[in-house]
Amino acid sequence: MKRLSWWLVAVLVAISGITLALPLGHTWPTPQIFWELRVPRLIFAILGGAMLAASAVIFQTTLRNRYVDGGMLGLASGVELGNAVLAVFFAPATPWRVLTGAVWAVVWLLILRASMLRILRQPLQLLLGGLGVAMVLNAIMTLLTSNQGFVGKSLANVTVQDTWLLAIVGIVGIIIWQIAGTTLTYFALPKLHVVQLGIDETRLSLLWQLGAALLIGAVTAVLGTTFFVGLIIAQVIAQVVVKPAQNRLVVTGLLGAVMLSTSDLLAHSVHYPVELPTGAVLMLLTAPLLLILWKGGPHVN
Amino acid sequence: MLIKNITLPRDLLTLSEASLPDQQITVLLGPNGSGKSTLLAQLATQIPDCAYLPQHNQSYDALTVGDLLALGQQRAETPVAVDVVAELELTSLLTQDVSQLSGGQQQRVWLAFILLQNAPVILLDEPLNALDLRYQKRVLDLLPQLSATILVVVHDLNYAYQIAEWVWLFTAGEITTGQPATIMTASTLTAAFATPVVVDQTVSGEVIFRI
Repeated sequence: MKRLSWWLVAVLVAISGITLALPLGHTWPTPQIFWELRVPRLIFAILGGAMLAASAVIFQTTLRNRYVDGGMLGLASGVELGNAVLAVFFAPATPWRVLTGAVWAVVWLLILRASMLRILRQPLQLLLGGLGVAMVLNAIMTLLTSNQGFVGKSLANVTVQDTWLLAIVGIVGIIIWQIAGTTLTYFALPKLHVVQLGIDETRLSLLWQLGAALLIGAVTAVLGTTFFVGLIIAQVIAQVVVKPAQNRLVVTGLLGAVMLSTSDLLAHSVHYPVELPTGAVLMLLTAPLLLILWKGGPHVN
Repeated sequence: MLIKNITLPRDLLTLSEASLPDQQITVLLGPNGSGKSTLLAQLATQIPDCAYLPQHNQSYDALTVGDLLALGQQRAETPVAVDVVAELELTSLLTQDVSQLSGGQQQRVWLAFILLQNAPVILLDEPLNALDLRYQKRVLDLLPQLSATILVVVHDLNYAYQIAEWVWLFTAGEITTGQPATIMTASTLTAAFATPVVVDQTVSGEVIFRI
């Protein structure tokens, strides 16, 4: 696992170097472009990718379901809808979209915990239920924002404020991780055994999922909903690194960071000066990783 | 130990309270679908300090045998008097992932996880599932050494007779309890399982059940 982590760090450094220094349109980046556009955008991509992937590990582990992530549960769509409502009815909140996204994710999580997550316990039921919720929320958002002149979600419009807000949310996530300690391991046991060990699983899962919701909410506010991405990244690492989820968090976060920073590099350089939607490129890049899961076949839980 | 206010589906079993002899092994016998597992699961919710092994157990994430057993030990206020890990021969498996083990190995691991909790009451639902004769014998020797009140579901009548100090027998929605010699007779077992059961006794006094 250490070797894989270092390898991912090396790739991340290389991608970062290229992203910061790449001449686009036959011109080198000016100091202003470097500091005000490229650096915040790169930091957002690295942190955002790590947060997206880490939140998937947490949701998969605490829900004991390897086929979910924040997008598949409908949380990301809830964030987009919430921020769209704010943008339509209270535009001054828009610069704080990362923060409001995190808050919306927490609100949707609490709603889901009181409803869908309580009722749907079978893996497939939860998966279909989550997708259903996501589709409904997406439809409402589309209807709400049609003809409003909204631009598509992309890291192209990342601001410095987005980046430091994302960093703050990331730090809150790390603090929650430190408070929760090594308790993610309990979710490897059936709930019955956890209860008998005297652990209040409901409170523990709430703590972890609040952290995960904050992470996915903050990222989604800028990147938009990316179905399957967190799920696949988390599962690829789970297949390659047979270690408890607690130990996989960092390396999964690193792969997420590599994936999103690479996607964003391609999104703004492949068809320059046209900006491609980073989320779409990310989903496209993640798709080949499915082959690793398929190769795993029946060994994949 | 008297357990009151037991609530079970009425079509399964008529039982509102039950007693378990303290620090003894009670065997729960009955045909398939008679409500043995339902009763054990219900008792597990009513006895907060019990350790309960359901029929089916699985790990939902990568987890080594050593980590799983450590989680079980966390609950024990005092360590178990018996070396459960050695008795069930788990030492060589400690670094392996639980989900990668064979069915019998997994059953030994989950059984050890329960026993290491050193709970005063232990509920075991078919703990011999997937165990070969060697480990069935180990469990037979191990359980009496524990200072716990044990309720165990077993299907093998000979095994049940060997290990039981008290018996609960389910017959058509009713439960009869008593000493093994009193409860496990040819007539009661034949009635319970709706299958002729013959009880033989050897010259050395050993009781043997056959169908």
